[in-house]
Amino acid sequence: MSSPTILGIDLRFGRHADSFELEAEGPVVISGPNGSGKTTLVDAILRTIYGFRRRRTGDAALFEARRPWSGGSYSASIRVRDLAGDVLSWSRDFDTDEVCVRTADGTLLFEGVANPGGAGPTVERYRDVVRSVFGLDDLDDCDRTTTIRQGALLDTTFDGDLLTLAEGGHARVQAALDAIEAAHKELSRQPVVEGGRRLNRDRQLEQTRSALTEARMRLEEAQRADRARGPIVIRLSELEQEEGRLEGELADLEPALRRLFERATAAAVHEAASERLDRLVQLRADLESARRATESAERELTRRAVRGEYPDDFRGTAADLRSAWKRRADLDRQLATTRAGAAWGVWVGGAGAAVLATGTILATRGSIVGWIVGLLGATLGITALVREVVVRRERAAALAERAEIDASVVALLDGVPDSGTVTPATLPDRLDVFEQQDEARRRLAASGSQVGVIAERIRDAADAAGTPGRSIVHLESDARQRLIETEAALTRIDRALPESLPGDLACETESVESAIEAARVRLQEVRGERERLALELAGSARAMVGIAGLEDECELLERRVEELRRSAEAHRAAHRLVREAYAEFREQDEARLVEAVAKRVRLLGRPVLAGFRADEGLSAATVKLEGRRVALDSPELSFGQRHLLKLAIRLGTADFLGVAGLATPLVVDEPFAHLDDRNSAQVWQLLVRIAAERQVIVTTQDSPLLRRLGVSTGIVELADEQHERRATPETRNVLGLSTAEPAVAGQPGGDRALDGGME
Amino acid sequence: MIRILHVSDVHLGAPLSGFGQHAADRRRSIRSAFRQLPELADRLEIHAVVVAGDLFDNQLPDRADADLAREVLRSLADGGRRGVFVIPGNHDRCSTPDSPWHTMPDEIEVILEPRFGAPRSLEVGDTWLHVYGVAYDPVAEPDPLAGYVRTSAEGSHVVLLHAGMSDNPGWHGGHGLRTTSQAVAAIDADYVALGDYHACRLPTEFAGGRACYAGSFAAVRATETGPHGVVVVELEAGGVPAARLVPSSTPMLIDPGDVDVSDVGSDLEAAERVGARIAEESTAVDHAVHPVVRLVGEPGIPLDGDRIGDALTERYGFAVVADDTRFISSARVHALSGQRTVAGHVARIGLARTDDSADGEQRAVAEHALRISLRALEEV
Repeated sequence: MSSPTILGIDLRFGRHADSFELEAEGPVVISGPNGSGKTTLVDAILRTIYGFRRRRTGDAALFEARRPWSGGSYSASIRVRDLAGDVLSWSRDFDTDEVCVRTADGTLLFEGVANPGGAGPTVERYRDVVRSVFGLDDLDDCDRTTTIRQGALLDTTFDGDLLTLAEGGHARVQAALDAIEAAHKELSRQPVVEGGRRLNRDRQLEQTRSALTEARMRLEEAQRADRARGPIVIRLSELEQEEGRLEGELADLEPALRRLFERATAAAVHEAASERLDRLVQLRADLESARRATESAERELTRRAVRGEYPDDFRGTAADLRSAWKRRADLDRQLATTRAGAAWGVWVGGAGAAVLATGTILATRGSIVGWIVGLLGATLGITALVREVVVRRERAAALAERAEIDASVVALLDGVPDSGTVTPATLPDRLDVFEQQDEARRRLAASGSQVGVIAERIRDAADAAGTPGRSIVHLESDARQRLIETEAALTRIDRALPESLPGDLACETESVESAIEAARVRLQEVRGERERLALELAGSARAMVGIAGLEDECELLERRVEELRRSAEAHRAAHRLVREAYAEFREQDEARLVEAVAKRVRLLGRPVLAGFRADEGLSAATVKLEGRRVALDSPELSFGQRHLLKLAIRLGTADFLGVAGLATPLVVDEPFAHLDDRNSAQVWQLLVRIAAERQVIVTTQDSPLLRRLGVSTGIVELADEQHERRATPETRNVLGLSTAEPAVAGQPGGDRALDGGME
Repeated sequence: MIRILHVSDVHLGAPLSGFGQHAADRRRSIRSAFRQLPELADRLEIHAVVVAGDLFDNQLPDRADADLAREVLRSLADGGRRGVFVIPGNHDRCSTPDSPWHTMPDEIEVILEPRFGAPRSLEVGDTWLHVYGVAYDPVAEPDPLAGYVRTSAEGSHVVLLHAGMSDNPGWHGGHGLRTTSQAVAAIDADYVALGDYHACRLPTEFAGGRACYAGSFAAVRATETGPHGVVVVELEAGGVPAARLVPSSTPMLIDPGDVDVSDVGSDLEAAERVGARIAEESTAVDHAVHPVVRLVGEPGIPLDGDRIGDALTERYGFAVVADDTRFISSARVHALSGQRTVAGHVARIGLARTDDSADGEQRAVAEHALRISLRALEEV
């Protein structure tokens, strides 16, 4: 059964304060005499779900009328098996409108005030629960379709409102669309419907795409770095080779340079040895020359000093002698002069004395002239006297000096050969001799000095050679030997010099030095570049870290993006598919409704009523009455026919809504009223058929009719005493009813039983 | 005779993204299995271990993985009594200065040159083992076999190489170093220990019978079904190497073949069907398995591969389910398309869309859309 099923009810409602089991394989029949509470029981089921709209006059009166006769709480609880097969406990306190819906495992689906006339989120939530379980969320809608109350059948209308009502039945379609959209929202931020609003945040697809883009960028960067390594690796290889070549060159050049340096050193040593030998040879020659000069000077001196050797300072002595002799001559001349002057003084003195005397005489006479003459004579006399004194002194001094000079001359000539013969006249000759002797002495001294200097040099040379005291001959011999040795070393080095150097490099120190310098500079450059490239390579290597992992990651992400893209696309396609299918389905609603009703009319109206059509619109529907097409409210229809027609419309509508997902239990209060047995049988057979698809609850006060129809199962029998009868085989047996199942439409014998059985 | 343990593609530290939430467990499992190698080498009296690349999944593995590798390789070397020869692969190439390959213990012979050079030699009893190898670097040397020259030394000559082969099953181009089985067969070596390809290809699959892919130590992608582990090779002078795969203890991905679920009534029932097949297939496997299955058939319900995968994951720890069932071809869909319900319209339009699909991709999307729609409507 693809509809919710009311399994039982526990109620304190009107006259009922009991519980009833309502589960049956076919229609549930609530049977009992008038006033036994059949309608109340049905109403209790409906009100437990939908409640009372107490602001409505009718509902308010009914609310009070249904208050438990026995007093106590005004409540009811039903057990419902929903479409998923879960059993729900559904209870309502009618005074407070508090409803509690929970599953068998205790999961609470709803709890709160569910006033059907109310509004707000709680009421909306409750309606959602009702809709999800029963399809229709409003009792008014039930009353127009699936709930056929006693006496209300004739108010049945057939119009477009039924189509509108069907829309609400497709909550499952909307739920499916919502579910698809929710799943799509997990996958992508794109709208599930074209032209819809895009979500703000990225979802799996966009996040994975972003991750892929990032991974690709990282991979490209790593691949670029990898590719960039190519030229670097090649260049590094070239540099490595060049470095090897340069190191090889240097390995040739540096020893060559060392040998050239050794050769230069050996050449310098050789040259020094040669120079030393030359120097020693020269020294020896100089020494011999100096010795010869000394001997010559000695001989000359000997020859010149036959009569004695003049003192070294004879030249000064000669000068002193000359000076002494000159002074003595001057003194002689002075002495001679002083002798003449003494005579003149005497004369003058005498003259003066004479004058003085004259003057004195004159003066005694008183003559001034005498005085003057006397003065003059006195002066002359004094002068002459003074002069005489002076001259005498000078003479004495000159004589003394002459004596000294003579003594000095003697002293000067001391040591001078033949000093007695030395006179101013012989002095020049003596000086010539002295000069010759002096020259010979100088030469002797010079040569002697020369010999000394040379000897000193020889000593120095010996010391320098580490052979102190070694003679010049030996030194010369040593130097000659050393020269031979250095010549041999030079020859050896020359032989060791490389026969060929790189390129046309001359085997010269400067060339090789220059080549080495150039090679070293280049080597440094090469190593610098290698170091830089190695760093660059290391940088590239770091940039390409994880390249293989990135390749795998990109591959994985690409697959994932593709999966997500396809999944998102499939969800969009699914959403579109459901929408389009639903639209197509809805386009056929009217035809389906007419067909559903026509089907029920065919079943219930036979043989009089048939051909239900609504070509001119639902409100202008017609039916064939004995071959004539008449409107649904045609007076040509009898009350019973109208009853059947309306019942067929209701049942057809219920079928139509069932297809639309509104499988609310079908409740028919007194379906057999105003019907004869034949029509009642047709109605019963139809209800049995419907009960295979959805729960059918009917009430009847006509127990004999049930027996005539052969109804023996699913009966809840009510009595005035409020006895409840459970619809179980045991109960049926107790009641003595048949356990034969009614035939079901669609099964073998079903339609036949319906069509033929009642015939 | 020389016994060699041929290891490759351990991929320590791999993200194992394809294993989803099971990745961390699997990483631990791979590490644990890798730790058991020294004990295995002792038990099998291995003379030398060759690692043919990708020991790490990354050029700069994390410290724990680098330390683990050092510890295990050192333990394998057994104080120098056993030769351990390693080459870096494309995942763990040695081009970075801070690569762990530059700081391996002395007793580990890590070949870091991108071109063949003189072999590393190891005396094994009265014979010698000569190992040649190249570090993965296609930039430095794009031809992996260039420059290989067998020396005239007595003994067995083994070449270590990490390269792909265009004739490997499932070859899809690949990156970097590549060669062919013909080229490998042509070189003068007693054994070519290959790495890079994750499936084991024993010498019997190669011309000349001297090359071998050990395959990945454990599946690192969720598609790598079948046994994975290490290859034990026995080399006799002048003989053809005898090799066998010793599976690692890492849970094996097992592919029981296509599972027909045409007659199942629910996702759980489909999962049970797969479980039964796995039980049949894994009787010879002495450790945990993870199913990798492909569902086929025309079930009357739109199966949810994810739910089936979840059920199998709950049972096996990890599972991959490829749902290739053709619900759209089922009698149920065709019956449904005859109904005048919303689901009937969905089935009818969905079938028409599938028939009108221009290509396979459109068709797949249309089929998937039909499944999603009917599942959402809970009409089947």
